[in-house]
Amino acid sequence: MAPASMLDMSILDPSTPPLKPAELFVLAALRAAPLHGYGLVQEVTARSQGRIRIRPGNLYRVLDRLLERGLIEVHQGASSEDERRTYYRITSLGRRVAQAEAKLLAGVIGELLAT
Amino acid sequence: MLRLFLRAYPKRFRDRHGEDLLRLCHDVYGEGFSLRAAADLLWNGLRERTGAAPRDFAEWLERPAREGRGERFLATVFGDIRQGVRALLASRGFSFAILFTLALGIGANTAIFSVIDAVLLRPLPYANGDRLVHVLQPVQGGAIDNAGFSPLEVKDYREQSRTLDALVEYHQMQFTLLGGAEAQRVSTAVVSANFFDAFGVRPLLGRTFLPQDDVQGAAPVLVLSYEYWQRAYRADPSVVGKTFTLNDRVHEVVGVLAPIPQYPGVNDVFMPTVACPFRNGARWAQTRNARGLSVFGRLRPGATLASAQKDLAQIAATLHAAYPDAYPNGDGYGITAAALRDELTRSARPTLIVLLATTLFLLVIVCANVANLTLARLVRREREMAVRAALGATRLRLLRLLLTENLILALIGGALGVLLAAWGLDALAAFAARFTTRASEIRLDLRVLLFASGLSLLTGVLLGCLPALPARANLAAGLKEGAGATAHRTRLRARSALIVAQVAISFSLLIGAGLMLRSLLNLQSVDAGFDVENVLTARVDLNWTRYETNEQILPFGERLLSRLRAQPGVVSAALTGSVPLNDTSPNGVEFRIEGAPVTDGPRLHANLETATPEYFQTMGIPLLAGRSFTEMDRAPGPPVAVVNRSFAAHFFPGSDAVGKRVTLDAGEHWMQIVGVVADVKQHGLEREPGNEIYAPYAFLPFRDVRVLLRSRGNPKEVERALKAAVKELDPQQPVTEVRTLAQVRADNLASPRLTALLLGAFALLAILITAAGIAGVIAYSVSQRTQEIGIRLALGAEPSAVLAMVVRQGMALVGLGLALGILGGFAISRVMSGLVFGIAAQDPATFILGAALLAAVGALACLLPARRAAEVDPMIALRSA
Repeated sequence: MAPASMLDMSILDPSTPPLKPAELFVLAALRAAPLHGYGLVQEVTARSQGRIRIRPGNLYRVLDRLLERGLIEVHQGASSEDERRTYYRITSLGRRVAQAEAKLLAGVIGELLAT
Repeated sequence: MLRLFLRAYPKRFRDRHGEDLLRLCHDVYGEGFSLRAAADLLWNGLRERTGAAPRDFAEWLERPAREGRGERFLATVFGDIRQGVRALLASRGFSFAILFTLALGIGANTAIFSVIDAVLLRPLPYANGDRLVHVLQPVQGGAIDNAGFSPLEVKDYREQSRTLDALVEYHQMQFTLLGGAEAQRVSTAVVSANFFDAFGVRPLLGRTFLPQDDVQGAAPVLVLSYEYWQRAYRADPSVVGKTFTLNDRVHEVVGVLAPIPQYPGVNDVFMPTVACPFRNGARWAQTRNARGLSVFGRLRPGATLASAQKDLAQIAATLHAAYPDAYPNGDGYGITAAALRDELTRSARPTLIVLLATTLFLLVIVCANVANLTLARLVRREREMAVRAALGATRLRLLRLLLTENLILALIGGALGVLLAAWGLDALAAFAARFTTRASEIRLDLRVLLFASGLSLLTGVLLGCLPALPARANLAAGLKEGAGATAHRTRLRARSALIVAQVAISFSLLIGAGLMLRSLLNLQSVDAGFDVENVLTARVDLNWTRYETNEQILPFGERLLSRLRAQPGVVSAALTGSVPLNDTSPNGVEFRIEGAPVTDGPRLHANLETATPEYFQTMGIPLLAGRSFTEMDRAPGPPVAVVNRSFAAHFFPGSDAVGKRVTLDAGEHWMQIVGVVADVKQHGLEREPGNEIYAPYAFLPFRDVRVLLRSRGNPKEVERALKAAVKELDPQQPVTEVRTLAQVRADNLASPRLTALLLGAFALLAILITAAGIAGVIAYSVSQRTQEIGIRLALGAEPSAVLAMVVRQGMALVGLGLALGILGGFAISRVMSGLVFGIAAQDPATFILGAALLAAVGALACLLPARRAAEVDPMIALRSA
């Protein structure tokens, strides 16, 4: 992975709204492996230590927005686990946007942690 | 089943994620139907549809209404809303006019309802609210509604009553709180230990009183009222357990009360009865005549107010027989009980009911006006409706469209109205607080919001259905040029009827406001008997622990006066017991006239007041006969008195009162009347002055006095000098209730003034709305008759005749409305008869002036469209035919 300082921040389009916490968590959850809806709900809950529970009704709105922006895509080579479920995976654009957003936040978080 | 709720999402979204979403719902919420899943889908579906962000709004509005097969219900509802918003935005002037009037109507009603709900409808916030009664001992056959009770009487009634399972006492006294930067005066309620249990009041912090707190020798304790705790201790919870020095004793705070309306008085702290040395002193403990306690009872389960009254009357009869000296026949002692709930709100009820009626009337006018506007707009939209119908829209669909538009307007208007109500509520609560302590409960809560939304929905539905009535005529007729004359006529008739109703109701409201205004003017012109200009008043209530005897009180008062007289800017200074225009009941003391035979008949009563030599001069009360008090009127000289004109006229008709002697203590001391002064409205502007006896302060030094300072300039400028003088004499002595006499008088008029102001504002609104309605209808009728008017003018009619014709037509409606309004005016004036002063409720002048005003406004409203009619160019009018 590229060091944070080398990241291209220009990838953050000022005309699009910043990622919401739920969107960041979804991207983070998808970084390791493609997941389906239920897997995402569980993963996000675990990662946020139960603080963020995405309701099913909202999850697909989040996914829809991310798909629309090209940050994730439908994972075609479905795993053998469950063929009926749609799996999602992060795109390379998604990785870069997530990292750029995270770096923005990291500055603020570093300050918060320092005090 | 869940699939139905999936329809909350737009079709595009459902196509993409529908199946996945349903599966996930089953994973998370479990198989089968779950309410939480349904709510989740509905909520997020609507969020997806509305796009949440406002920048999507314009786009959302632009989307075409879809009527596909799959999503009929939600899609059409959303389509309707979208179309409705679009239509309303298209005619912004119309929408604004309607929203404005609706917000006024709904706002006024919401605000008044929130007051009525808190004060009259909701149960008392005491746990035993409905079982609480106020026990009263009226004397003089009810002329004085409560003489109060003595401790001995409280004990007897408590022991003998079979209908009340708790009987508690209350009286108020003042303590001086020491230890702060300045000594503070603390209003204290002195109550039985079980007072709070009887009322069902729980403490917010700590505890209330226990029986062992109320025995002689118990450690002094006190409970803070919620308001005092908030104000003086900034809601500090650690205040419980702290100690305060009040007068000469250290008291421990054991609890803080929850926020409840205080009754019968507003107090800072509560103490058990042992705290009051007077109540437990020898005089009060031994004589039944030392009355001054208020008594409250709680009905036993199953007992009624009537049975309690019967029970109390029996006990009273026994007591009257056993102690004839304490209940002289001539004094007409009685006993009665009143429901606490009624007592608390008695003085607020008539005003609030008048206000509620007024705002409801206002809402009716608003609805009539909105209906009128809607009808007018419908005419302009006739072609649009016809086109829609021709393209296949059913009648139901058209009706639903109109209904949706009106519901949108009504709901937005309602929301604006709630904002308006919230904005005005503080002022309204302050107004209500003049009548009842329950005003503290006034708030915009769920009940009020439900009322407001119910009202909005009702108006929306009514207004939505109303235009459908005259529109029964064939819609397709709207497509033809100049057709539908019958429909126009039906509509004009409907609109005229609405105008008549508006005029009638406006007239009733105008009568109500007019009566209140005339009553206020009467009150304002009442001669109170004293000169309010340049007089400052303040209360100095001496600490009763350190000023016990007359020998201690008198020097303080006299030294204070001599210091004040020496101040620059002070013309004269005086002390007295109470400022005029207070709310006390008159004729508190019993007296006898020298030489008059002692009979068994009614005893003589008068109001006793203390006064220093410069009192009459400072107040500007004219001396009618004899002399005023002097510095020489003091012990060991003979006791003297000054009486008012009413006293002299009542008891010495046709003879000179000066030189006569009266006694207040059954002949032990005789006071010679040395002067007669003019009457003063001691007990309120609307009450007749009572019989007044003034005694020199040197003989009757009250511990709780009012200082009066007549100043050369602005009386507020001597305030500092007054406070400094008191502080020099006794640094621990607070000075409170500093006001000018002009303020005292203005305060006395504040509630009638506010009532008049509110009613006047509502009436004015009603008239404005009505005038707009009249102008609208006449303008519509003129536009329908342009051709006819053109023909008349072409045939030689004078423009002035056309003008007169149009005005006549409008004034016919106004006249009919006024005739009907007289009936409404009579109804309103009947309700208001208890609120007005100095005029008959059916005051003909108010009716005539009101009618004249409304007729003038009506004529003005007709004149604008009439002038346009007279200026019609016959050529253009005829050509457009």
